Amino acid sequence: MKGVDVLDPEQVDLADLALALEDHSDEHMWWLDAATGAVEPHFAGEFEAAEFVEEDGRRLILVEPLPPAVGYRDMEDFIACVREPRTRDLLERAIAGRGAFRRFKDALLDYPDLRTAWFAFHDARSERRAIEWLLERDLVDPDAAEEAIAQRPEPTLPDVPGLLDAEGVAHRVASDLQRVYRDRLRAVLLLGAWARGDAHPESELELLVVLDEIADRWEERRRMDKVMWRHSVRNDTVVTAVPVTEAELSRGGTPLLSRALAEGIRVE
Amino acid sequence: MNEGGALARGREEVRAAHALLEAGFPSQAVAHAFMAGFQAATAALQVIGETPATRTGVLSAFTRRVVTEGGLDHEAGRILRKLFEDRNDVDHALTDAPPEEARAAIASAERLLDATSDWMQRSGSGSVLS
Repeated sequence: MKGVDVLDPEQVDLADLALALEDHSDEHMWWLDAATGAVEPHFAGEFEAAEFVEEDGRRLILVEPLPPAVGYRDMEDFIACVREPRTRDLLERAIAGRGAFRRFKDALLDYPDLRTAWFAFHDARSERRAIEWLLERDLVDPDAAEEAIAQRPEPTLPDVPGLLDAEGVAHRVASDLQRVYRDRLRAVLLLGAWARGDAHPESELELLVVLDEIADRWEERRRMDKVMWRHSVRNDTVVTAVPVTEAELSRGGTPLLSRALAEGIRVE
Repeated sequence: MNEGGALARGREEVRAAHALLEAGFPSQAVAHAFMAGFQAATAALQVIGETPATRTGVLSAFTRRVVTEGGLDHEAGRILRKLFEDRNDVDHALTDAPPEEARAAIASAERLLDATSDWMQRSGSGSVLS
């Protein structure tokens, strides 16, 4: 797009852009700030319907939703990967006819492991589409887009549904935190019952997030809140994070840090 | 304790949190703000006949049954998780809670109690809340 600087794909809130590309609401429209990569909704009618608008010195680019068929294809492809015949049949019937998206999500409530796999599958695809959307509008560099897409391979489905795959979830949380913190993130450790191997289904998923430095621990947790909440909902568990610095971790001296050194499993 | 009792206990926890904050104990106020939120979640789960055995079980069941399936605003689940993390942070003694963070935690707990109370009214358990 002429007159617009190139964005780094990792600078753009891809999760929000992916959401915008699937949102067919009549009540609001989504816009991308060409300078910051932020994606924000505004009430329909607040701006004229145009490819872009200028507001308070910012250039906002309209994010029009993709056709529903794109999302429908995702469900079809996911179902084709489900190995268990009865479950696959039930999901195929759920997406037949009107109300397919709602029925599909309702059907997955009975299969927590498949539901988790669906979100991972869907996130990877929708974020890849978001990057392609940016590329089609010349908002990102082609090489950077290719690299960002390569970092989001389609996940494979679990063979045997069972207990929460805590390390897998921790890896995905760490990936999201990498996008939030970039070079500031030094390590992510899985702690607690899931790290020790004595978890029960209700055990929380405890993470220690090691950063280069911390000026305000409360502010850092606010920065992580969106990621922690998203993974808590998707995995039907409670994901928590404690930010610490490398220096604090190497010093130890508190029960938490001693536990981290003794039992922590590094996932990033 | 029934759901009305749990909600009333949640309001008491908020008053305790305010008192501790005013007395100069913001970290302890944060712990009581979480307890207020926890009681709200317990009350909502009692309405639908769920009594998880563990504290984190209450948190995840609240998100699943009351927020995702029951239609309560997602912000309520997000607040409860954050209050739990606030409380953990204070417990781990890595930091003391500044008064403004304690104040924010109490305000969040009050919003959670109000939202849960409204949800319970809509779910037909108004008689136990009066």
